[in-house]
Amino acid sequence: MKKQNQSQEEFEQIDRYLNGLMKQEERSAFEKSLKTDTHLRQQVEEVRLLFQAVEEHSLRNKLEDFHEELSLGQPQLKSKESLEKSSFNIKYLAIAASLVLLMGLGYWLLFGQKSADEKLFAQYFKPDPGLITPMSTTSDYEFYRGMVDYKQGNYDLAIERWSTLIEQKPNNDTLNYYLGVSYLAQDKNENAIKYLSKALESPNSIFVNESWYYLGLAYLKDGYSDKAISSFKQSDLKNSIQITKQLE
Amino acid sequence: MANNPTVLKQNTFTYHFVEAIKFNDESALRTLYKNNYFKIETLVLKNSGTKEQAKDIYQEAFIAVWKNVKNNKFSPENETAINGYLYTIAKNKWMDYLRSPAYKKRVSYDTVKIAEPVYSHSEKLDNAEVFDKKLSVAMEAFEVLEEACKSLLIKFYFEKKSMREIAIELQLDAASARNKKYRCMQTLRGLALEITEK
Repeated sequence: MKKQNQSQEEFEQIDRYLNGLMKQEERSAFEKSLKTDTHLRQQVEEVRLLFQAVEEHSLRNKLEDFHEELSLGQPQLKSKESLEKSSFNIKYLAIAASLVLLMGLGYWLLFGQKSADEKLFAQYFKPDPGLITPMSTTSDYEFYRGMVDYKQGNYDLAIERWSTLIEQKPNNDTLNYYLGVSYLAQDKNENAIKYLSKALESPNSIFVNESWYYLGLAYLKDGYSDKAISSFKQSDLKNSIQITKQLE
Repeated sequence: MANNPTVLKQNTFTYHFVEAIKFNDESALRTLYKNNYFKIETLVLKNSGTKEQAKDIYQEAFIAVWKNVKNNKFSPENETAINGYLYTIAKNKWMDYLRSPAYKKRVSYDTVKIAEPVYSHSEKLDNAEVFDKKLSVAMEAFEVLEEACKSLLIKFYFEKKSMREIAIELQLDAASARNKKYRCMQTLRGLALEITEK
């Protein structure tokens, strides 16, 4: 390790590379310069080393916690860190709850007279809980990171990650499906319809019923109740059958 | 994909577990740790070892497995395969230790560090050994880093939280959080350098 100054910009670029946060083109360009630039290569190795040190050190601490739990004979979650975490969560929940209340009030004031279709949409729309499905080994990691963002409700981040993947696998039903649901959760109906329709092009997809259902919801939100109904009718989900009855 | 939906559904759990390990998911790591420890303890105790040694050898094996799963050197097909792999690695490590001069001479029995490679066999260290050496220096440096930095770096590099989330937790704006991460990493780098030069 040599004493060289590394600018924040340089560091962040390397850091994004090592954490798989680069988009396809940026990554290819970066890897290209890695081949010729020995200085850059050395810097990458340095950051990689520090990254791994943090990771392994944290894991070693975790293993000590797990080992203590073994001798206690029962799951014991209250390590110092998790205590901090849970008090944080309570605070965070309280803030979140009041935000939700405020937002709800604002929403009611703004859209107090929303249409019946929108009400129905709001009643039914709940994003798919998310799951992990196998894809090729190299893209698994990025897919999973996106899934974590998705599950936390950071749909824009999930969309950003998956958009890179979908460039490589434009026909992948899993990606199309989750992108569609993410866009729907973000009120971007046009994109939601585009990706969900694409997901439905895979005839053997395990997401067929779900895709039709969310596609129906996307149409409903846009005010196309007839298109919505015909989509719901393609889906065997209980919700689809219920919502069709309410619409007809 | 999804040409065979049945197979895909069956595999979902497996992929989930393996991916979760790669992602340092706490509950997956805990499950892996707890489900395999006692098998190793039994093995070590039956083969002239102590509980303390069982723990050390097991943790080293655990870290080796975690690393190999992460960098795809080992791609287990299911959870059973990881369990078997972990057992084999721990067993081999223990057998190596029993055959080592350190054990035979019984030099300072209690303080023998099983995990540390014996460098004496050759003057030249190979690349992996050089890297391991640097890694342990960097971990030593991390140990002395200030708490605020430690916690930020753990959140990002181990817990895999997004910078956005971390900024919210630390009540910082996005730019300050990023700058803080940069400064913490530079401090860590400097500390590692100091230890190396000592």
